[in-house]
Amino acid sequence: MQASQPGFEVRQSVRDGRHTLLLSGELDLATVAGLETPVLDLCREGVSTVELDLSRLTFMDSTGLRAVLRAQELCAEHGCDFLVIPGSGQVLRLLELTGTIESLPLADAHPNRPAEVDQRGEPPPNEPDQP
Amino acid sequence: MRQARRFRCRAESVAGARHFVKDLLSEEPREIVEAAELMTSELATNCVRHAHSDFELAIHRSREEIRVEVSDHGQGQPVMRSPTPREQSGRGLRIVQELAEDWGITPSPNGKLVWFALPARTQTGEPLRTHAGERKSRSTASREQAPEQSHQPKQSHEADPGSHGAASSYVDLLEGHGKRGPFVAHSRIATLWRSRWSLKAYGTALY
Repeated sequence: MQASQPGFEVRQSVRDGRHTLLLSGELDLATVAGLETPVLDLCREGVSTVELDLSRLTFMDSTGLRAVLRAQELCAEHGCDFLVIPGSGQVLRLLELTGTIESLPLADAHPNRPAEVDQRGEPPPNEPDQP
Repeated sequence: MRQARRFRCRAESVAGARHFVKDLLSEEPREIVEAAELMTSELATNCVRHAHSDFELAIHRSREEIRVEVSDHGQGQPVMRSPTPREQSGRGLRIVQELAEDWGITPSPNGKLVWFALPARTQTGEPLRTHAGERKSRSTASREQAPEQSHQPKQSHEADPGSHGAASSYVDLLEGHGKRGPFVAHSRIATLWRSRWSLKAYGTALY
């Protein structure tokens, strides 16, 4: 599944039951609507874990942060575990500045990024582990 | 030097305003550009989402200061809130309060103007950290020059015990978090961050 708006993209991947939404681009007033739909779809599918990978976002403001907290709320309502990968850039600094990092369950980035699901819904062949 | 642009009342204008600021400040240090982008995004979002108004973005640059003004035709006044970490909204103006060297709201007959100021890199290439000691005096001067403006003083800056202290200061700030509330504590942490970024940027990193 892939949702796309100007300046913002969501790619979904899955590994070991953990569904990861990899966000890239800028998350603000114009693009937040592109986040709630895939989160809600996963919740309704009944997946066990939804993980938001924010490490490739180039910008997020308080409106984007609100959407992340809304995603956390949706997952709680549907009984899904919720994890966030904040990355190391502007998004992390925003989470720190606002104190919200303390209420978000943070996931370490995968040693090997989960295989992306392509448009046919099939994951590509596994790549050998990196040393 | 003043440069300005008008934006329509639509969600895409928020990114447009942000990119306008980023382009004009391309020679400033990264942490200054990042702070200006974030604050501009917050103020532009308020225009579109709350004031439901077209807005004008103006940037005034001097040797010492970058001043960004966002004016709209909305009648309401923005209110600064203190959300808990779990609350979903109410952070826009709080972010401006935390990151700006100075800021304020000026009502106008047709709406309002919200502005913020950041230190500019000096012509001599002086490291940004030298601005920290000047912060209070410049803020005071700014207020004296604009007494008509509604202003919320940045007490956290004036209480700043010196933002380039040892690691123990950082620990103290973290430990004090619960008592002072997240934004007060993080304001001072953000000041430490700005110091760290600028030190890194100028090749004299302490971390």
